[in-house]
Amino acid sequence: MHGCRSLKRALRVLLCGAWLAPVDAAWALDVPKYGKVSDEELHMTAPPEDPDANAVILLDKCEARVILENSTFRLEAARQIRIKVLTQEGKSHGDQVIPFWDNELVTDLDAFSMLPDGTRTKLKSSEVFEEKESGLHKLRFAIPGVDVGAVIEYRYKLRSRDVNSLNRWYFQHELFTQTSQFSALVYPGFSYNVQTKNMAFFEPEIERVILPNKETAKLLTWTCSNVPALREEPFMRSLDDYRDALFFDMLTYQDGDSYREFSTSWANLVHQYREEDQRERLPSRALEKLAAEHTRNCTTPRARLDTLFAHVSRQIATTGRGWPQWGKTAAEVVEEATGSGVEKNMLLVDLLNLAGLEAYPLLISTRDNGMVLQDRPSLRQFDDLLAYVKIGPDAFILDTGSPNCPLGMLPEDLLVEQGLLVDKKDGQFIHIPQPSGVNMLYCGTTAGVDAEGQLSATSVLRFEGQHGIEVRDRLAAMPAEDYVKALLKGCFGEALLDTFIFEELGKPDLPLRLTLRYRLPGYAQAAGDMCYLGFPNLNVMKDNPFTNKSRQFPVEFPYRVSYTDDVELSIPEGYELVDAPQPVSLQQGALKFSTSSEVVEGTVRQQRRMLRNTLLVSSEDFAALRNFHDKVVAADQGRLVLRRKAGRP
Amino acid sequence: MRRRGDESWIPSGQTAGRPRAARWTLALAVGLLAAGRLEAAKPRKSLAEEDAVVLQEQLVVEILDATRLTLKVHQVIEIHNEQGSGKYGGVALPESGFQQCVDFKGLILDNRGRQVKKLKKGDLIRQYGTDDFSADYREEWSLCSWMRWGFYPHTIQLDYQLEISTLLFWPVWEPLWDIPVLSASYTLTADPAVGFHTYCEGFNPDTTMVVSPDGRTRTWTLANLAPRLDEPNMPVECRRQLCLWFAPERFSVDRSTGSLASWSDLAVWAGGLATGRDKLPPAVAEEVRRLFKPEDDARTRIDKLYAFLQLNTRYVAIEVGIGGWQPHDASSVHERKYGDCKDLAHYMIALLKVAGIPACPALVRTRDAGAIVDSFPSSQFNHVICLVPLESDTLWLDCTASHMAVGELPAGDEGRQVLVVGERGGALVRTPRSMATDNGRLGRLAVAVSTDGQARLTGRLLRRGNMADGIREWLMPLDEKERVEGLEELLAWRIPSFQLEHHVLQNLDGHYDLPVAVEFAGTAPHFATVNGGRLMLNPNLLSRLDRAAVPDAERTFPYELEWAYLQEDSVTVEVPAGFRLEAAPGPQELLATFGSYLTDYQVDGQVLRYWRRLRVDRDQVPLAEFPAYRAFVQAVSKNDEAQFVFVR
Repeated sequence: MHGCRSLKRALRVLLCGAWLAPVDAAWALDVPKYGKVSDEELHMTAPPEDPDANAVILLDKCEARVILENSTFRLEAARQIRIKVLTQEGKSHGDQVIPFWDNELVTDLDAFSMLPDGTRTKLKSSEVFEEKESGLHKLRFAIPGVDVGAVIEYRYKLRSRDVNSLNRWYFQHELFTQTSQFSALVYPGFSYNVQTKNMAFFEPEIERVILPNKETAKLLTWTCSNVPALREEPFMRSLDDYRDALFFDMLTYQDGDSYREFSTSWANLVHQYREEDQRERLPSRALEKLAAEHTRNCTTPRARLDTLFAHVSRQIATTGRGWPQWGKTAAEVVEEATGSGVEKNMLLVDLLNLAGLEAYPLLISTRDNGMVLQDRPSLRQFDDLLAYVKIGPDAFILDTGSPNCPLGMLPEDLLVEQGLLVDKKDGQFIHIPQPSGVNMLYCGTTAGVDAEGQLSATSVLRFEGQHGIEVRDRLAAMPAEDYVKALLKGCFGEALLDTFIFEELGKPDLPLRLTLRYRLPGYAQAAGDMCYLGFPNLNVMKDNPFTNKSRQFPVEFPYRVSYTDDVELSIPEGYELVDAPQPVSLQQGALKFSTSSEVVEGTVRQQRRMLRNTLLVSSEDFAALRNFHDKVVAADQGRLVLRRKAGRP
Repeated sequence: MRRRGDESWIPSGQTAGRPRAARWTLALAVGLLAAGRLEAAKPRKSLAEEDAVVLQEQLVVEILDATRLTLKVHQVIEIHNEQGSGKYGGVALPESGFQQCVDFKGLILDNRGRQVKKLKKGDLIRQYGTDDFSADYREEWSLCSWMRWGFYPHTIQLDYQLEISTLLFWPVWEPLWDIPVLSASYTLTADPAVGFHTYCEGFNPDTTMVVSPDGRTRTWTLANLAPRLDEPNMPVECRRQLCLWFAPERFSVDRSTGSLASWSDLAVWAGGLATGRDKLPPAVAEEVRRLFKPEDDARTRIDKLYAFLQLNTRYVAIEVGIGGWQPHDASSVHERKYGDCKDLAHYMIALLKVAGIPACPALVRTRDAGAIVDSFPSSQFNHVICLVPLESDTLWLDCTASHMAVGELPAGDEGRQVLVVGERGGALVRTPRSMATDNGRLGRLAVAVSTDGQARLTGRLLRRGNMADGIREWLMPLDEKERVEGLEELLAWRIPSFQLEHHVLQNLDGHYDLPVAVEFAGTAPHFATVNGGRLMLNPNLLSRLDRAAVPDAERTFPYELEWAYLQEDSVTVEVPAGFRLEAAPGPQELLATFGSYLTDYQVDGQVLRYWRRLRVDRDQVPLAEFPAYRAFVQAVSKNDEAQFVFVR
């Protein structure tokens, strides 16, 4: 397929100068050339679209082409970035870092600043510093002479052995962008694919470039102007999911007698992945023995799954997540009893297969990494790996990276909708069902108040589902007593912890239970004959988590939750209940909140329920979401009013 | 971006602490596990209950000559569980332009003592500590790896050797970890021609030392050491519970030599590095002169030049070789418009020189790095500021503080013993501490409440000194929309669901000698709790100290506060007609040696007038006064959280 005749022909073209044709003139579009700063740019103020900006990107430009170098196709990209500094804070954009990988090279770095009075200060090569950390390089440089009003500009060339290493072009950044331009020079014989994301597809400007050998190359240019700044908001998965972006993939090169593929299909990638993986994962007797030993007494496939999952998840220590490279083979993971989450999941796949189950790796992109685009085959889109196993009609998706995550659940960051199954055929995208269950945090409290206003209470908490994972993870990282004290302090401030006990701590399949006894000095406010106090709810919402007035993007929750508090508060002897918070019942879409209370023989009981049975709230519904939480905060401030009975001292 | 306390004066080797390898390991552990430890007051666990135990830590230092030394480290750590593996199973060896790792071997031994894993130097990965957005470059990095093994217990054994090309980085001995240490030793073999002095804390170096027959080698040994005590709000210097430090009489860095025989000698060296670097080209000097008028007095000139510096430079640290100590020359700082603390301080000195005002640099160890040991001349500093002696006053300028007024110092520079570098030496002096009134937070608020608990609020907040510095640091980088959101967040902290409708921010950007002022108006739909016929509200909206602020009772060390401060608020609340006051917290008057708390209120018709003043005069509460301080905070928070109840 990759005939050397093709390379030779391409080499001939290169040598005759066709590919090194001076393209600057041909690419002469209406964007400024490096170093030529206009008076308008030097004296401009903040654009009306972003009047408070600290800086704006005047130009963000990339010119990409594929060249042949040492008989290998390579990408060469020329980058040019021009920024206008508008405030003191904007001066920090003079500090730049260019990261690149081992298979890439950055050359021809130039930079300068230019002040409104025309003073130009150039970056010296001695002012550029390179750091290299295990395959990742970083060029650090501070552009000299930067001041408010300055235009700063830098350019560099990036060469990469990966022809499609710059295939994702973001038009949108955290700064307002006046002009963003991506160009690709496509020589004869190349085919390509273009897509956009978060924006309508638009045709490029096409220029035909006559090469010295009389062939015609196409210069494709996509330009966007006045692109709004994009800012991260709370409860968002990944900003990249929302950026205006263009994807340009070189697909193939073909001439009369040769053919070369740069891009590929998911099936090819799956085959390639499987082959490489199988080469590195030779069958191991130790693994076979381990699988046999653990499943010897298992009579059903499900029992084999349970026991192997429990072993890998809990008996092998986790050392981070481990993507994209995992250094250890499954046998090494077993031997050392440590492995990254990815390594452990690969081990589980191997063990399940050895135990006669049908198991495969499942590649995913975590919530932080953004959505996978299924029409763009590239393994770079993934950043994690889970184990998939099928038993009869049932499919299980498993992660062993967190020892506190039970079978059937996934940790928060891995709760995504789709994954690429590396099966024995061509692979397939599968839908990962979202957990439909609601993760409950239950708290039952029995409490009493003495004459000094000190509250004494016993609470029983039951952490279910994701709450159980979260608390168990925290308990693995800190002493249990510190955790409980911090819990009380967060709810009530000063608290005296008398006793506590966790139950089912080592059984992630079961809800975690915490029983604690504590005192809250000065909890009730006494004034004359009156006494005021709130219900001691451990799920109390003190602040609205949604403080912004408006929202650009949807609110994304990782899972559904419910919080229940049942409080039983004894009225102190000699006092009577004068007033209690009114019952509240709120509903906003899939969000519900209610409180109710009753008095039974000297005891006030309150039930508080909160449910969020949704994963997504649109930006249009944000105001209602915020308002709902406002009302919850207000309801949680309700107070009981007690009065000393007449005749009592 | 690190600005204050940027450690440019300790570029790669030495702070008060254990040798860098171990110190980095601990830093790594702390980074991996931000677990609060209150273990000082708790009964100790048995060794088996600990996550890990240091069985042995040997440091062997050989001073080869006046310019070079080697450090050999042998560490044996027994790991008991996964937490211990996560915290102590990391390796991070420091390297820099002055310090190279020449040998490394790491072994994991199982519980029978069999070797199960081996690491060599080539397995270590280089890691820099700089973040992804900073242009800072320091010629230092760590060689890192994990040594994890999933069967417990197991033992990690590390052996490595560092070659260090300046005695300025003479390894210190701080044998305490946050886990028990069964055996620790420090062996020193020194060329007799190399003079040095020591500082010791927490043990008697004479009774723990053994000298070799030839007298060249000394070994200090300690055994069965309990973990280092740690408490929240502990002064950093209190971490120095057991230490032995060394400093050479003479040292060299690159081709520069100096002496640590006295503080003055260190100042001579530091001054020498800057010699001739305070010259500005004539054209620049002329440009600087145009900034002030001939009739301007010294203070006015200083104000103008400091503002010029703040406006025209930014903080970027480039430290290569001796660049960790030696400032870049003033003309290049002027052209580049950036520098680190010492670059900017010396540039400021050059600017002042043009104005005919003498000034000199002062070396600082910032508060977050702990107090210096003044009896022990050595390289203990991590920052440089500028001292301007005037006829009637002395001004201090931190040239990395991009939004402070002349005469104000960032909290980290306040009350520090600093080494003033004069023309012929130097001396330790103490920087001034700000007073409570310097760091004021004053608020005025008018609230009109309706029967459903909604309120309309108008108010004005003023913040001075360090209080203003904090809000400037926070709000200045934000654009207008983000600032509005930030202010709403600030106010919503105590005013539930506050919605800002109007605001005016004054003196945020510029006029740093004036307090930051915010005038605002807005609504709060759930300001008061409506309980049947009652309205319950807390007028103390602007400066409430909640119960979470009450520190734990058990204490071993002084209690560090950020700075002395003053909060003074006056609030009027207009309640709807027909409501009368049913209950209220009584007026308070708490007077203590470290501060005072006063509240008062009165009700005129439907208007409640509330006044509160909290003054804390210390930046640190001595241990003896801590119980009284805790009781004070308890009383303040209880009163601050109490509600006013109006009934119809």
